[in-house]
Amino acid sequence: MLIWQGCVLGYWVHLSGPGPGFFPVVLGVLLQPVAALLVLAGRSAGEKPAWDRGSLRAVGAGALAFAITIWLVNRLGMLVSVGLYTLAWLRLVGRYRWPRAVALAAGTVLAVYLIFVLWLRVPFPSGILPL
Amino acid sequence: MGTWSYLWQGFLSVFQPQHLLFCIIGVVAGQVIGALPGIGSVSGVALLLPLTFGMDPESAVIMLTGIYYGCMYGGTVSAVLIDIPGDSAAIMTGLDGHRLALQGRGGQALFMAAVGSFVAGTFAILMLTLFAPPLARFGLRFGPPETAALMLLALTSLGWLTGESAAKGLLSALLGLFLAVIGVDSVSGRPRFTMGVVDLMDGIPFLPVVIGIFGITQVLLWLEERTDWKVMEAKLGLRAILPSLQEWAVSKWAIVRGTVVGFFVGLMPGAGATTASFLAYTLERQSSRRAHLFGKGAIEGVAAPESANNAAAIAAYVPLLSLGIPGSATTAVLMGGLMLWGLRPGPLLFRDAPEFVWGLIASMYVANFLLLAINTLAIPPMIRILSIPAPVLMSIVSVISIVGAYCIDNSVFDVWLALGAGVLGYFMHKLKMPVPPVVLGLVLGPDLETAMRQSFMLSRGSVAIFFTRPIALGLLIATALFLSAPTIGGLLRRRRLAAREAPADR
Repeated sequence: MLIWQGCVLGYWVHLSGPGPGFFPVVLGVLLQPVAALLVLAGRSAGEKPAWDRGSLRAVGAGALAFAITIWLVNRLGMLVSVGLYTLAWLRLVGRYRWPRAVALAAGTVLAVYLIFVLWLRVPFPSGILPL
Repeated sequence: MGTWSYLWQGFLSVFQPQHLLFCIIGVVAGQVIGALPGIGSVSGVALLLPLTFGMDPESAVIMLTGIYYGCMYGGTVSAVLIDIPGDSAAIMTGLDGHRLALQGRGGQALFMAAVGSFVAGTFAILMLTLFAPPLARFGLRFGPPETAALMLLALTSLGWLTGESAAKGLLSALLGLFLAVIGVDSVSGRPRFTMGVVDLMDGIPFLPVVIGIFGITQVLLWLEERTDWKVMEAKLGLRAILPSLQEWAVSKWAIVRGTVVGFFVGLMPGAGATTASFLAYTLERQSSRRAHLFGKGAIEGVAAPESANNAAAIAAYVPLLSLGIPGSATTAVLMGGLMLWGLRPGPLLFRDAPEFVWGLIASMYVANFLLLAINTLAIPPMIRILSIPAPVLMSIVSVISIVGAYCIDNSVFDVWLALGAGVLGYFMHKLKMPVPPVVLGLVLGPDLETAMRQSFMLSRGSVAIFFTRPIALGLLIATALFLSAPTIGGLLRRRRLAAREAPADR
């Protein structure tokens, strides 16, 4: 947390021109005492770290799943990647059996298709599906 | 035209079949979202905002208000029956509500909450009808310095009211303001903090961040905890849920007190329904003759916070509609949505788009009635929806987050932003930094900057402009008080502790 504070402060202090830079500098100036206060408070409290390795791994895996899905959107298309995401999620997190997981994932994709493609006419990246 | 004829026009507009339909969809969706543990009113509104893009603004905002409002009712259901508040505004309800459910009086708790919510909501809408227009006229006299001071007040008060530490709240607000700075500067046209990324030139779009910070964060937090829930069985036919006369007697004043507390807390920029319900519960326990029953199943401990959160939810619309300052995270999201349609909440809205404002206000009356009906007559089917397993719910939330973030601007970059915001939100939760100030900072940032710059242009660079105009000065003094209150409070507490310890040393 302290390191993170330092990073934020480092980014703040430079001016990007008198006019446009005015507001950022005001923000930066305001940020200093607040950050200092928090650093002091953090030191005196001697808090435990807010997360441990196990939870970080779970959350990291979740974020990675999101990232892979988004990366796939432009390659396989929105519907396919969202379907794969749901399937993986239900199998790995929900521990559903294959038939139920497939059915639920298909249902999700169908709902997304009906709402966003047919009703709202959102132009999804169609990817490999001929839609 | 006076207030009442405008309101009449508003009712005519709401009763158009299309608007009425969206109002119904909204309250039902809100009720469900509010009841589902894990997604609250902010995430509900944020996730469903993209769905409204195909509608005309009036239907959209009617539906979104219905969702917000339905959440206030819906959160009660899971708080009472599962002991997981579906919405943070229902945390206090769960304390006594779940005890009542364990004693087999869950139905009564729900019924009383619905009645309390209805009374409080109706009162608050009436107050909104009466006081928002004059406040908006007052707001028209605001120049840039006043606007800037008002926004500062909103940002600082939200900071210390929502979190445990004022400094963390302020840091969140500053973070939000910083995100708002990214992009091309509107005056000089120079890009700021874009790190050369072309997609960032337009600035950080508001909705993907909100979707990420509420939707995706929720999924990540759930992945860490992996909690599942079980709905309690309860008899919920209409006859089985009518409270006894004695329960009415003790709840009557709790509802009135909760309503008043809720309304005034909700009016304050920054203090939303959650704060209101906390205060109402505390007040009720202090003023009650049966204080020993609180926490063990006192029905007035359900009635008071439930009335308060509904009154506050409506009250938050007063500053939003009349001054353009959102009173809570959810209204901040709504404001972001309204701006997408080119409707700027604020004093001008009453003058320029009266049909819109009054349609919205009229829809609240209607939504309130609908929700009273749903929550007294149709609780059993609502509860069936609650039995959806947590993993399935979370996968739905993630899919809506991805698709929703995409279809705001048909941009995959926005989805990446949402993911970034989601990870940011996760760490903020872990560091116990309140999230609403970020949202508020992001919404208000551009306006605050413009207002400040205009002020300095008016005054040719002198800071005095903020101190010589009475309204601005008053607002700044209030801001200073808000900022110093926690520090002074902390000092007093420390002195009292020291005083208590001193004799012990001797």
